[in-house]
Amino acid sequence: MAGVVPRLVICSNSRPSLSFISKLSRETRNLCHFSMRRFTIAGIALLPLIFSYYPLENYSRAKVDELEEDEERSVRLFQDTTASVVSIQNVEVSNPKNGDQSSLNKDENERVEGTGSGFVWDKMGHIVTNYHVVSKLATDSEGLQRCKVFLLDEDAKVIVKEGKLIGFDAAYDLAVLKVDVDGDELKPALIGSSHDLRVGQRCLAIGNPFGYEHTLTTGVVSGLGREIPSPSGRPIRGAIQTDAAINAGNSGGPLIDSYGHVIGVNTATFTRRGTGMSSGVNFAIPIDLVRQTVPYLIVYGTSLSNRY
Amino acid sequence: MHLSLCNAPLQMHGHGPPVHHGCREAFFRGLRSPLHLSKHNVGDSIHSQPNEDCNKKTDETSVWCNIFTKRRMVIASMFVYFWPQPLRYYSAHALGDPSVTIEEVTPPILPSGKLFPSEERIVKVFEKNTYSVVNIFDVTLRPQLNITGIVEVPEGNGSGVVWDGQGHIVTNYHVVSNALSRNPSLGQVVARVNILASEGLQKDYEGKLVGADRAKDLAVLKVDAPTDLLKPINVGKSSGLRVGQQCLAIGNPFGFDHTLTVGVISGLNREILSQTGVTIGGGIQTDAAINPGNSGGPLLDSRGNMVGINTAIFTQTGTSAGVGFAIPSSTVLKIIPQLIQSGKVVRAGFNIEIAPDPIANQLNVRNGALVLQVLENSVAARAGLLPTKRGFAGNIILGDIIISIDNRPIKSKAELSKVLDDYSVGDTVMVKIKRMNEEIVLPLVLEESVS
Repeated sequence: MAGVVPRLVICSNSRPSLSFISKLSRETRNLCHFSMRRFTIAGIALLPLIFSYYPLENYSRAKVDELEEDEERSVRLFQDTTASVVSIQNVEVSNPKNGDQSSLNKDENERVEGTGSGFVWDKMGHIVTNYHVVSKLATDSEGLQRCKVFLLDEDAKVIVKEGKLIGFDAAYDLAVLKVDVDGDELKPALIGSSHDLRVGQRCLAIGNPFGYEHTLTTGVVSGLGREIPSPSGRPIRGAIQTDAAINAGNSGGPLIDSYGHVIGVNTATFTRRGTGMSSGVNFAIPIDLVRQTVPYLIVYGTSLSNRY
Repeated sequence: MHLSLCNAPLQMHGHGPPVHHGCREAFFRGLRSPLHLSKHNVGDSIHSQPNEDCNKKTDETSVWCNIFTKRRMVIASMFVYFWPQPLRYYSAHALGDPSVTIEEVTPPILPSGKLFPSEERIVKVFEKNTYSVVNIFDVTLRPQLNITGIVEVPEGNGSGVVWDGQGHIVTNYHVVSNALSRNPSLGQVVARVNILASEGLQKDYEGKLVGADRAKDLAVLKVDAPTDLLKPINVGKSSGLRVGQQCLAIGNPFGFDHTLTVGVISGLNREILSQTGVTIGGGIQTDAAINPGNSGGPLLDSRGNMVGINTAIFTQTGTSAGVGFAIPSSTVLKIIPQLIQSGKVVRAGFNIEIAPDPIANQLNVRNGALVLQVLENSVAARAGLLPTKRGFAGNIILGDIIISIDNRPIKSKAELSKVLDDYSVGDTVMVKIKRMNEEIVLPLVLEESVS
């Protein structure tokens, strides 16, 4: 009975209990024969009958079910999309080794320079994240920076892979890493669009704030078309503002709409310098911009505008 | 030998995971990549340089190889072998994965679906009510331009609500407190009001002072805007609110105009410590993110009726911590009509000065409101209420302590103000006072409180 709203149902004559309703429908059809007054009286007289068949309780139950549906939806969305979200750690080793397998395990020679999130772009192993998460890696001059990517495999176990920086663009605060697929099946994130977003629509952010992996925070789209500064100094236009909590460590993670499509890359929060704490005024790079830029970052290593 | 090296089909390693090359091949690959931006692949479709094809490439590679004579090769290879650099990290500049094409790495866009009913409701409430929220700038505070060029918008930036079709705008007192501290007369311009006309278009108007009430942190301005631009907000009842109900806040935090944040009612009947230093009772607590700049903006329920005016946050960082407070609409409905009509709020009182909490605690008066001073010619003076005096020996003689009004117990100064809020000028109340361990009941007529 969930979701049923009281309304007139025109039924066939074979259902004797609802013959009043069918009579009314015949009346409406032959309106020219009956006066309006009689029609209104008949309608009003029949209302209690109709409501006895479709009690108002069902309407409020429909609302309650809708709320539970919202919760169910959030739970399902998280379960479906969390496999596409990765954790990124930028580490600095003190003595570079030739083999790369040994450096994947944490040893005393490592120092964590930065942490963030990212999401899987495609099955080839490309990971999209923010430039400022891997900026130390990008500006590495001594070869001491390594990047560790923590992914979830099909059994929801955490696997660590080495991430190689493929391309970055500081002006859009985007960077792409590549991990060796090695037979593991990566789950790419579903990409949506950001040009038809509306303020007030629900959005979810998955990331690793303060190191807590695969954290889900929810909120609404608070504003659109915002301008935020990028690491290069040039502003990023068209940013999505949200009140889903985005803290230090969430950068690079996806902003998802209620269909599970990525609509943005979480980038910044308006915060007091040094705290990295969300204030409820948080920003994400719109996915339309990301979708234009990332393929060029993958193939050419730099954005279209920088190529020549 | 050289030719075979160069022909060592580097193009084979385009697809699939990168293969480790010998040092020499790596060296040549490193040399070639800055000059040839795209990777040569047999069968690949796109390339940056249009005049490359397989045949020409072999010639080029052979040309490359010919530059290095045997001797140079030997020297170069020695150099490479002694180069202690890990193979996979050439440098930060050799970027790009030319083994794939743009099309291969461009994922399909999935169409966005229709909004779910709960989302649609919030979107509609925002779209309808955003035109009733205005941006307010205190005229006495000018934005400072830093040397870095980033404009800092000071705290004098806040929000306001369109109250009626005559152009009255309701906001917090502390939003325009800097201008109000200069004691402007009624009708003087104290703020610049920014009204949203249609999608993206904002119009500036001068906000003239109509009235302000410091005790409840409210102020009313008037703008001369055309009627079609003014969309008054629907005021709802705050008395029927329940904890857990959804609420929406629209405002201008940090200068980001018309920002929507959503949360729930976290608590009711809270004491708000306003920026003006006064405590406001009956506050609505919410976890919708409220930040500096949201002050004066509306707190709406899920039907779009205004149930409060966002006023303060409890924070240690200066930004939202999920604890925000709003003045309930019941208080607003009592204050604003008075401000519009007469420019000030007439409060019923006894015209006496009550000891603030720290002083009362020191004098050991913990259950009551201690009278410090009594204004001359006030009703209290005529009734014989005694103020606190200093004796000849220098000791303090306590004045009367008000312990209840109309059988409603009074324990502090704040409670006295809260109880008196419910009365108007001219009402007679039975005041029970404690004088020298005696309890006396006096009938007093409330008069207009002179602030």
